[in-house]
Amino acid sequence: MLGFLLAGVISCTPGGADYVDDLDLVLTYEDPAVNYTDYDTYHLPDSVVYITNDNSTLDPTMEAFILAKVNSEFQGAGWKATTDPVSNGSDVVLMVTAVDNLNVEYYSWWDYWGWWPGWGYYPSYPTDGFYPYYPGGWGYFGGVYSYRTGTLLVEMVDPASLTVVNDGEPDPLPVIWGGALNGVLDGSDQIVRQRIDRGLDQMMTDSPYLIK
Amino acid sequence: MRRIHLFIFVLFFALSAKVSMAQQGTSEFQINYAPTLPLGEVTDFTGSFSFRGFSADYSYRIKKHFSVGFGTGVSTYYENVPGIASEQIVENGKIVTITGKRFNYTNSIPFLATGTYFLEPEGQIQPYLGLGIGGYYVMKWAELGMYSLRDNNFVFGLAPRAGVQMPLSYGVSMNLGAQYNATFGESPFSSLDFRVGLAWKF
Repeated sequence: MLGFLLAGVISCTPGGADYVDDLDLVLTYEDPAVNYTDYDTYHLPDSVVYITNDNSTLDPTMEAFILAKVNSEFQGAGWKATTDPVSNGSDVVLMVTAVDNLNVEYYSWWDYWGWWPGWGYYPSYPTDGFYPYYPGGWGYFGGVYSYRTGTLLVEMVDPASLTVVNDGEPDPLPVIWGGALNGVLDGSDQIVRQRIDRGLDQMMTDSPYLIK
Repeated sequence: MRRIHLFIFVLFFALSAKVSMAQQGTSEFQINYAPTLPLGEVTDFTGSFSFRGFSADYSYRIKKHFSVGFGTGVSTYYENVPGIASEQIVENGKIVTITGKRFNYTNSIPFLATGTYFLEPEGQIQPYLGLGIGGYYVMKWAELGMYSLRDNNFVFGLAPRAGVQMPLSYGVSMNLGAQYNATFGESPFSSLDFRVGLAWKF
């Protein structure tokens, strides 16, 4: 009888998404303990870190499009961009990452972001490396970045609040805000651009506390 | 003459069998296609009429007019929410906002003890009234992209029902009926099932 019911449940439950963009998701992470009005300037490194299992690379025009759009969103929200983080620093750093595979362990994060010369400005430069840490946990990611193929991440870190422990292990770098566009890198170039454009708009709409 | 005798014998046998099938001591298995109309708070989540459902019942005729048994089945409701929707989840004091295309689902599986009173247990149209009492496993969930938000409950409920049975052939009847489902508790589920199916007596 249970098998009969189970078969009935499975066969009677309708499908759901018909189109790939029906599965697109915008996720944002907010820490209510953070006063976002305390932060005014940001620096956006001039690269999108591309994490992939194969040797593919992110198309440079797509990379430029993504960075321009992120800049546009934050400047539109009243944030000021700094262009020389090695000399001037910034209140926050925006790290933009495209993930083209699944189950990326966050402890490898330093491998992806250690190249950035801007870390040299900040007093707590993590010599053992770092990984992005979401205080309280970003529950839906379970401590491990497990995203649908083709996810775009925008993570706002506060480098000045890094606590360095010289134990040979990477230290957690607090992410005070995070946004993810889940799955948007699937499809044709034009469709991907439309979905990134729409998704980043939504990311800011869902984060009104970032607007100055 | 021999043919006439045979015809009379078959007719007599058929009529006596038909009478005996309506008598106490017989079992009945019934299966129905059950399109269903969500009611009450269910319509806030999954408001559309559903053509996806079925029911299965077993009953035993303890008296000429009265049978007892149990019933189960599946009803599924679905709504493709227009536009995009947002959900906020607070976890460990942090706020995660999820925005995307949303699909809502409600599945209901009743487990009911049933009693049925046949107003006219013989004849070509056999109307009946009944009541089911028991539990409903109600599964509600929303899907946003690859994530789902679930709320499953097992709740107490009642199910008055009414319908007619129409004998089609020896031991087989057609069933037409309706059943109102009402559960109680914090997240009540209610619906009206329409039932079209067959009943086998043995």
